[in-house]
Amino acid sequence: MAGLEQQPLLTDGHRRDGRAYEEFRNVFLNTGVISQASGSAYAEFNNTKVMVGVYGPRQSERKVGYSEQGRISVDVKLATFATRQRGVFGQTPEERELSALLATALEAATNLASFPKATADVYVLVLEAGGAELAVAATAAALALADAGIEMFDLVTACSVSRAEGALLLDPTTDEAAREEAGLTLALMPACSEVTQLVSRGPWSSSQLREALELAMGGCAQLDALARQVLKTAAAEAATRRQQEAQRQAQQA
Amino acid sequence: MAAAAAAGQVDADTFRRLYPDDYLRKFVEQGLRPDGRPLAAARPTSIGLGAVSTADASALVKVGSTTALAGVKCEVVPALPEAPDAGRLAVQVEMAPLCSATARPGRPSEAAQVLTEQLGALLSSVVDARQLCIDAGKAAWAVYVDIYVLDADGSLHDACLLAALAALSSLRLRAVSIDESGRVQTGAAAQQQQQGEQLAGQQERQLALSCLPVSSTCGLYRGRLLADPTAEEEPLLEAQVTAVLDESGAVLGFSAGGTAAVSQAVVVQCLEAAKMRGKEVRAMLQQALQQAGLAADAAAP
Amino acid sequence: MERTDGRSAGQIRTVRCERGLLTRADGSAQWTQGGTSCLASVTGPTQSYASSKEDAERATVDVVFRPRSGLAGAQERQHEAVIRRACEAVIVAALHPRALIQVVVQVVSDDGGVLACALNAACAALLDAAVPLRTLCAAVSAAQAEADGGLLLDPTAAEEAAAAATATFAFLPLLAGGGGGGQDGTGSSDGLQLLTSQTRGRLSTDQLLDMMEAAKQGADRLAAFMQQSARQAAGPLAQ
Repeated sequence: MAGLEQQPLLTDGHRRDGRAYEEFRNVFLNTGVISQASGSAYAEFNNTKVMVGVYGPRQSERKVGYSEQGRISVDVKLATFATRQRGVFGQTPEERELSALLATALEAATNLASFPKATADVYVLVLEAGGAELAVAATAAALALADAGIEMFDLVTACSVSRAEGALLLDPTTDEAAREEAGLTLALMPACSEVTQLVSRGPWSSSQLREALELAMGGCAQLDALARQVLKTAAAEAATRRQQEAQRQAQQA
Repeated sequence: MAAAAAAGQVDADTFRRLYPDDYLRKFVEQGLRPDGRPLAAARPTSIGLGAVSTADASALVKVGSTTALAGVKCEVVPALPEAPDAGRLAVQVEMAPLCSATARPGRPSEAAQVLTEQLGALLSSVVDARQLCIDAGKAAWAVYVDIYVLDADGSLHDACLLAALAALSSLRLRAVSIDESGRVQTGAAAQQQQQGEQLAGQQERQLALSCLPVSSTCGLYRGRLLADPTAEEEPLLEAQVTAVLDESGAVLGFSAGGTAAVSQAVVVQCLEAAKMRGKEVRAMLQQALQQAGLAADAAAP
Repeated sequence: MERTDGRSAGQIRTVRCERGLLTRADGSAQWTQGGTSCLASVTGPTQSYASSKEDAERATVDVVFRPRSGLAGAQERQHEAVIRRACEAVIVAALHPRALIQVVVQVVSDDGGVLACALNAACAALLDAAVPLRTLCAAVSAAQAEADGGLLLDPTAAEEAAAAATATFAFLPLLAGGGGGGQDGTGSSDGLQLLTSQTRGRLSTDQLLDMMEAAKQGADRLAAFMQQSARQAAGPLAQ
C-alpha cells in the first residue's frame, strides 16, 4: 500500500490506468434517468459517477423573496460510500463550495429571464468520487437542464487538468489530483467559446496556464460533441414514441 | 361528472393530470394499469452488484423506475462495553433530493425516517451482530448500510430492502489483524501479517444472513388489489399493505395503513402475493450473485 | 396459561380513559392500559401554520409523538406516521378544507404496547375535541412468546422483550349505518376491519392471522368500552 504512494504517476508516456496524458477516461452520458424529475442526467467517467436531477422551474421558496429573474439553486451531495473514508449525511463545507461553484458555472449559460420568480432546483448526487467531480457534475447538470427543457444559451461542458510530475494531465483521477502541483477546472459553453467557470489551484506560469487552458478547451469540445449526440438520440427516441402514440390513437379512432 | 364531460375535449396527458383518479379508475376497470401492467403484476426488476467501487459492497436495484442504491462500508471499531461480543449494523435510508419533486435537501423527511426504522429492525434480525465481533471485548466491525433512493416511483420499501439485502449478501468482510499495541490492519496486509505471527484477527469471510426477506407492497384501490404501486398510483390508494416474507414463508413484517380498512380476505391475498413475489425476487438475487461469483450461503433451505 | 400479572393470554389490562384533562387544548384524553399510559391533546381544526401543509380539499392532520424522556428519533417518527394515517382515516376531513388538526401524544409511562395506547389516546382525544369522526378506531398490541409460541394480547414490556415477535393492530369498528352510532351495542367482531398493522420479528403466516384474529376480539371489547365512555361523557346530550 505504502509502495503505491511513492511510485511515479507516469511511466513512459502513460498514466497508471494506461491512458495517455491528454486522454479522457471512458465517458458515458445519459439523460432521462429519473422518472420523477423534470430533467435528469447520469455521467460516468470510469470511477466518477454522478447523477443529477432537475426540478422546475417551480415556485421559489418563500424565504428567498421576489426576483425578476429566475434562480438556479444547486445542491451537491456525495454519497456516504462515494469516498474511501466514509462520508457523513449532512452537507460538508466542501460540498457547499462545490454547490456554489456549480451554480455559477450553470447560471451564465441559462436564460434566467425565461422563468422569472421561479427556481430551477439542480440536485447532484455523487455516487462515487473518482476524481474531477466538479467537472463531471457540471457536464451532467447542464445535460439535465437541457433535458428539463430549460432555455439555455449553450450547453456547458467542463473538464479538469492537473499538472503533476511536469506533465499536463487531462481528466485527472483522485490519485493524480492528490499529487498535482497545480490544477484547474474549466467550464465552457463550447459553441460560443465562452467560459462560465474557471477554478484554478496552485501556482501556474502564464505559458503553462495557456497550455493547460488550451488542453481543457479541447477536452470540453470533445465532451460537447458527445453531449449533443446524447441529446439528439434522446430527442429522436421521444419523437418516435410520440409518433407511435399518435398512430395508435389514430387506429383506435 | 365534469370529468367525463371534459374527457372528450382534452388529450390523455391533460386528463391524466387534471383527473388522476378518473384516469386510474378507467384503467383499473379494464383490469389494467396506466403503465400497461395487469393488476397483480410487479414491474420489471433488476439487481446490479458492485456498482460502486469505493464501497465494500453495493447494489443498484431498479423496480420499474424506482431506483435504490445501497452501499456498505465497514469499519473496525472498539467493542462496546455493554455488548463485548457483538458488532454493529447501522442502516440508514436517504431520500436524496433528486429522487422526487417533494424531497428537499436537509433534514431527512418523515418517509425516509420511517423507512430507516423499518429496514433497521428488519436487517438486524437478518444479520446476527455477534458474527461482526473480531476480538471479544476489544474490536468489532461496524457495518454501515446506506441506502440512497435515486428515483422514488412508488413501493420504496420493496426496492430499498432488496438493495440492502443484495449488498449485504455480496459483502465480504476483509481480513483483519490486531497486534499487541492495538494497531489494526485490514485487507491483504492483514492476511500476510496473520500468517507470519499469531495475532488476533480474522480471515476474509462472507456475512451469514439468517434468511432472505423480500418485501412486497400491494395497494387497495376501489376494492381491487394493485401490486407494486407506482408514485402516480400511491396517493390514490385507499390502503397500502406491505408484507415481508422470507424463504420459509415466515412473516418478518406486515404493515398496513391508509384511509380505509382492509378485510381478512385482502390480508390473506397480500400474503399469498408476497410469497410468489418473494420466490421470483430471490431467484433474481441468486442469479445476480452467481454472476458476480458469489453465492448467498443463506440461500440453502 | 397464566401470565405473571395473573391475566389470561387473551386478556387486556385494565383500561382507563380520562378526558378533558388539559384546559388549553381543544380536546384531550389520557388513556391508561395497565402500566402504559399516554396523554393526547388535540388542537383544531385551526389555521395551518405553513401553507405547504394546507390541502384545499380537506383538513390535514399533524401528529407529534413525544417519548417519555429524551428526544424523538426515527422510531417516534414512525409512530407519528402510523398515528397520523389512523387519524386521517377516522376524521371526516372534507368538512374542514385548508385547516389543520394537530394531535400531540405524550407518553406518560411505558410498560409495553405504547403505540396501541397512543392510538387509542389520540382517538379518544379527537372525540373529546368534538372533531367530526366517521367512526372510532381501537388499537391492540399482541406478542408471540418465544418459549412456547403462545399468543399474548396486550403484552407488558417484559413480555414484549421476551417475545419472538410483536405487533400492533388497529381496527375500524364499523358502526351501524345512519346516525344511530351503534345502537346494537358492539356488534360482532366480524364487522371489524384492519386499519393499521405494524409487526416486528418473525411469525408464520398462520400465527400472523391468528394474532390478527385475537387482536380483533380485543379491539371489539375496547370499542365497546370507547362507545360506552363516549356516551357517558355526552351525558344528558345523548338522551
